[in-house]
Parts: sequence; C-alpha cells; structure tokens
Amino acid sequence: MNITRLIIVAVGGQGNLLASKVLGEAALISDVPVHMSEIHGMAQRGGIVESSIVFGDAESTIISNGEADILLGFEPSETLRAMNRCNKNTKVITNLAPVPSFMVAIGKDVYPEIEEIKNLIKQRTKKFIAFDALKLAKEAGNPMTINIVLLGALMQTQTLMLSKESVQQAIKIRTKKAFIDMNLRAFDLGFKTAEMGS
Amino acid sequence: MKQEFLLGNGAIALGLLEAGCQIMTSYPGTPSSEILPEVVRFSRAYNLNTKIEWSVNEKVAFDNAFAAAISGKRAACCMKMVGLNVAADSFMSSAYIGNIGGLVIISCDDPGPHSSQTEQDSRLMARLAKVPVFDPANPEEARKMIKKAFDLSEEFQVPVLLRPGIRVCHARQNIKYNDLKSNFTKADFKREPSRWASTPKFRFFQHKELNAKHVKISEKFNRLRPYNMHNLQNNKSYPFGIITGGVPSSVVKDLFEEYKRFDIPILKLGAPYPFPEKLALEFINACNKVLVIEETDTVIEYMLRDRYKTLGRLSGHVPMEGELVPEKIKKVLNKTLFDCKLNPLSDNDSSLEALELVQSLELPLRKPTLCPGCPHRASFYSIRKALPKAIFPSDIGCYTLGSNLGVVDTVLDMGAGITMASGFWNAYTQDGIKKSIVATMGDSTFFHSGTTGLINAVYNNSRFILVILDNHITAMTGMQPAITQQNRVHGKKGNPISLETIIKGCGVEYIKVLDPYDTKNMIKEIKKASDYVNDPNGGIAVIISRHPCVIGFKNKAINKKIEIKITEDCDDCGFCHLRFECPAMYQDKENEKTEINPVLCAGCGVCLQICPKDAIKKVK
Repeated sequence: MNITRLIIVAVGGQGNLLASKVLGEAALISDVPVHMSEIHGMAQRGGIVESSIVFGDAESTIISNGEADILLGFEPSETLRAMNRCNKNTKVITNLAPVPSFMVAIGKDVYPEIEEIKNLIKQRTKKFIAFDALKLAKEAGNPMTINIVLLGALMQTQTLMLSKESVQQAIKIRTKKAFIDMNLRAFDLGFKTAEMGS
Repeated sequence: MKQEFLLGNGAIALGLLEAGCQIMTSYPGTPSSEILPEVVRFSRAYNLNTKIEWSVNEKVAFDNAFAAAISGKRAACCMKMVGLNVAADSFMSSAYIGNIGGLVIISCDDPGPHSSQTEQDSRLMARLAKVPVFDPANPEEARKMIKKAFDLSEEFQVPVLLRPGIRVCHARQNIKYNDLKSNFTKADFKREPSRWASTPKFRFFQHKELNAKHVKISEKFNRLRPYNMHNLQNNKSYPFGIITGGVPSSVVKDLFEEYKRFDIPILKLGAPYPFPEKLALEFINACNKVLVIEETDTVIEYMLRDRYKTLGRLSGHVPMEGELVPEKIKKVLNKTLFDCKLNPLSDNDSSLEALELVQSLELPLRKPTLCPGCPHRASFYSIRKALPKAIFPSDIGCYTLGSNLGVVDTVLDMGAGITMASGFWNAYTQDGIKKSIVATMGDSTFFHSGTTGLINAVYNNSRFILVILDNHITAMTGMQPAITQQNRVHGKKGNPISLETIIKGCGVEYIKVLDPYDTKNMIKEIKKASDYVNDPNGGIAVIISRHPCVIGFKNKAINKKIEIKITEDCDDCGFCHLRFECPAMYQDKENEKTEINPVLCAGCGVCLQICPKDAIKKVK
C-alpha cells in the first residue's frame, strides 16, 4: 500500500485536533491504516498546533522536511512557515484569513502581506488552493466550523485514500450532535470552493 | 470486537485494563496526563471495579500503587518523567523490596523538550533503581508491552517501568479490542517485616537477590521477540548495523523501507534493561561497526561497552540534545554511512532550500500567552504595580507564562517558588539588606510540593509574600480537578481540602483571600502584606488570589460578560497590550489606535481598571 503523509498546521483554538480526529475516524471506516501525531501542553496556549497524519503502512508518525504529500494550513503565515515540509509535488491548501500573533498585535513583529504569502507558496508547489475559509465558515453558520470547511477542500483534491462519504460519515460520529448539519454544510462549502480551484 | 482511533495514552490505558490492573494512580503532567482519564472512560464503559485516583503528587501516587501491589493486586502509577524525580525516593527502594501483585510504573519522556524543563531519560532512572524497562515504539506496542510488564513483574517480584516517549503518548492509531473484564483478586497483605520493613543489613541481601533476578531477566530479554530481536542472517557478517529502540526504531524502520536498505541489519531493543547481553553480543560480533540510535540519553550505548565498534552520541555521530526527528536520523545515517565508506540513504536533500527560504522570511513568532480573561494576568499586573523592584520566584503551571509580564524571575521545579524565596531572603539578609520577595505558586502546585517549603520558611523566620494563584483547577495539563473542589475525576465526591486551613496549619498568621479581578484592592493588599513582612513582629504573608480558571469554569469565572469600547482618549500608549499583555487588544496600524478583538475578548472587564488614560469604557 502507498503511504500518504498529511500535515495540518493551525493556531491554538482553530480546531485542528478535531479535524484530525475526523480524518482518523474516516480512515477507520474505510479500513485504511492510519497513524497520527499531535502536540499538546504549553504550545496550546496561543501557540502553533500541528498534527501529522500518515495513511498507509508506515510506523513513524513524524513527517520530516520535504516529506509531506499534502499540507493543510488553517492560517496563512503558518502555512508558509511549514513549507519546509513540502517538496515540489506537495499539494498545499490554505485558509487566507490571518490570525495575527500576539507579537504582531503589540507591534513587535510584522505580519507578511497575504499576496506575498500566496506567491511564495505558489512558486514552489504543484497544486495550490487558497481561499478565505473563515468567510465560508461564517456562511455555514459559525466561524468555529473553519476546520470542517478546510476538510471539505482537502477531500476535493482526492489525495487521501479516503472517500468523501467516509469523511462525511466521520463528521456525524465525531462532532457534536447539535452542529452536525452546520458542519456538513461547512464541508460542502469547502469542497465546492476547492472544485472551483480558487 | 471494537475499534477506535485511539490516542497513545488511550492505548496505554487499554493495555492496563486488559492486563487486569486494579489500582491506578497518577499526577498529571504532559505527555502523560490523558492516561488516567482514559482508564476512567474504559472502566465506565465496561463497568469495571478499577480504583482510580489523581494523587496529590507523584510520590504519593507511587506509594499508593506500591502498597496495593504488595497486597497482591495489580497496580500502576503514571507520571511524566520529571514526576519520577518526585517519586524517586520510593522508586529507588521498590526494586530491592519487590512486590507480589504486578507493579508497573509509566514514566512518559519528552525529548525536545516540548512541554518540560529537562530532556531526562527515564531509562537512566530505571537503571539507577535497578528496575526493568520496556520502551515502546508506538501505541499498539505500548499496549501489548503492558501485559508483558505485569507478567514479568509478578514472575520476578520486581516493579517494571514502561517508558513511552511523547510520540507514543500523543500518537493516534487504529486499535482493535475486545470487551474488558474486572479483576477480582482480593487484597491479602502478608506480614513479613524482614521484607517490607527491612533494615540496612537485610537490604544488602535484598540487593543481592535483586542482582540475581537481573541475570535471569537479562536471559529472558535475550529471547523477548518481537520486542528484542535482530534480522541477521546466519553466519553472515556485515560492515555496518543499527541498534535502536523505542520511538526512533519506528523512524529507522520506515527510512530503510523507503530507501530499500535491507543490506543494513537492525537490532531492536524494546526491553533494553536489564541488558540482553547475549543478543547484543551476537549482533555486534556480526558487524564491523554499529550505530546506536536511541532517545534521549546513552543507555544502550554505554551498556554495549565496545568503544571501537560503537558509534553514537559518544563518538559524536548522534546529537546530544533534542528529539531525534526523522530528518535528524536521516542526516545521522547519511554521515555515518559516509564515514564507514558505504552508500548513503540519499544524496539530495530537496527540503534544504525550502527550509532556508522559511528561515529567511523571519515570520512572526507565536509564543504562548495567558488566555484572555485569565485571572493570573490580573494577579501579575497587581503584584508588579505594588512592588516593581521585588524578586519574583515562581513555579510550574500556566502562570509560568507570567514571565511575559515580568513577574516570573525563576522557575526551578515544583515547589521552588517558596523554597527559593527563602533562599533569596537568606542570601540578602546576610548582607543586611531587606529585599522584597514575592513568590507565586498555583493551588495544585502548592498541594503537590508547597507545604514543606512553607513550614521550613516559617520555622526559619524567612520573610516574603507568597501569592497562591487559586484557580480551582490544574489548568496547564488539561483541567484536572483540584483537591479544593468537591468533584474527583470519576464524578465521585471527595472531601475538599481548605487552602486557608493548611496555610494556617503551616504556622502562617497573615492570610488574605481576595479576587484578583479587583486590581485596586489587590495592589492595596500587597502593599499591606509588604508592611507586615517588614515589621519586626511580622512574618510571612500569604495572599490567596482566588478566581476560577476562565477555560475550566467558563460561566462561573465570568458570569456576566462586560462589553468594552475604546474612547477618543486613547493615545495608543500600548499599556493594555504591552504591559498588561491582553491578547484581545491590538494596535490598529492605520488609525494608530488600540482596538479590541471581539472574538478573543473574554469580557472580564479587568482592563477597565488598568488604562492609564482611562480610555477603556463599558458599553452601556
């Protein structure tokens, strides 16, 4: 079986861990071997939350420089920061709505221009999908669904050995009952936006 | 058969219950914190009789489990690796005395370090205590090793340590399992003072017995497939081989698969201590050179004892610090293969250019900060306002992040906030200087290791202010219950412990309880406490700064959100985001004015009290 390596980068509170669990559940449904690694603890207080998910018959869960097949970024500057994990064949999907760091907020750091971020990533990858996922999440009914919007876009690229339906099924299992419809709506919005290749 | 996409710590919990663990104790600490809650979850799902407790510290957890084990029950205690330091006194004696029912200690390592103060290797502690070690490579292996560990512990009547690395604890994997059943073994402690309470003379004999057990266990570990094994072909010799175990063994395996390097043999040591001498000798004899890839210290490398054949940290091939992530292992392998005049894994490193690009961009840093509305922020603000020139010894917890606010000068270990305050007092008074000292410590840390230091300080007449940041919870490690509250981990009622009573019992006469959200009052109280400390008839002053955690107790912490606005009086001095460091405040570059991020703002209203221009107002 082939091995597919996915990196998800986000900022604390954006729902990265839930998104990763949904993919894990979908792999379970589809009977695909999956290993994942996540970082907890101090990093969660306003820091970067990264998960690496390896689909297929590998044992190690850590993805090294240049080894990612897909990079899913919840925050544009974090997507750029994770570019060292990519090679020229890596597919990159990113949200474009920034979450400025605390150091930026206090004026000690400068947030890069979004267009510059887009150009830098675009030059280095085969496939690049970038859109404002926050806007779509709000459209779905809640900014918190941003993680599911991005999962929709990820599934549209058909890079993982999982079906769209298995992920939708996993959303029903893994997310809170009251939010299932909203999440499925968010998933569709992300999927359709990626289809348009924006 | 059930199947779950289980966290490594969940797989460990499952392994404990499958092995019939009856008593489980722990103190939270990343990366070990989720083991106990997962034991609770499985025990509930299958209505098991497991006795589970969050203990007050790791030593307490250890002793609890030890007593159960010498009563014939299977017991386990879990902690992070620095927690094993706290339990070290008990741990060192435990192997000499031994046990009846299986005793498994789980000490989770944090190479990196990601969320710890050191990178210490629990296998070294186990060697010091003469406790056998299992070192899992992934969640599934950890789960299976636990059963083996319990069996070994009972067969040889010796405690066994499982050392999962952070990449085992916080990995997730598909795990299949069957229904779980309770273990009904009854407690049956047999009096035997010469064993359970032996004097030094008998300890010598116990030590001798333990050493004899080690010879037998080492013999067993020579044949402990699939955890200890090599893939040498009969009578073949090799120019180069790898000896590895634990998390790095998974990385090595994947790299060799990827680059099809089946010419290099591997000796995997998942149970490295007592050292499987024969197995290692077999391997090393067949190879011209061996490279040891282990995390985080040099346990296997030292035990190989062949300085001519062995490459690793001591030969300068493997980094002495940091996590052995795949790219580092790849680099180490390439260099070592080159040194041994063999083909490297690959000669191009495509990622290097990308890495350089990313580094050259100088992207904004994201450092951890206290949450918006965090009561610690208000406390730190008031402390600094009241006594800006004091020394601020602090401690381990979320409030370590008070360093950003300039109110955390030192962090050594759990409890050192108080003991170092005493030390600073002694150092300055010797020179005739009365230095202001304000120590800070969380409620959970105070119960963990604060009281002994406080008693010592009272007895020896040290003078300082101790501010206990009481947020009713162990927040940093994931909201474990505090013992001042009613509810225990499994929803059962506990007998809550009163902080005030304990502090009074330590001999402190000056105790003030206040809410840090009222900063004017807290500043006033700190100044009053300072007067008491400096009064010849005074003493140590304790302020309990009490307000629930805004994450753990969302509604209780802020029961009515205060909506705020920034008025025209704001001259963008930056005090609220630079000095007060509220993440919900930011500088709007275009307007040159401070703005509020309504998504982040917790509505605590503390900022209403701190603006120097009085430009933050309530929205009516």
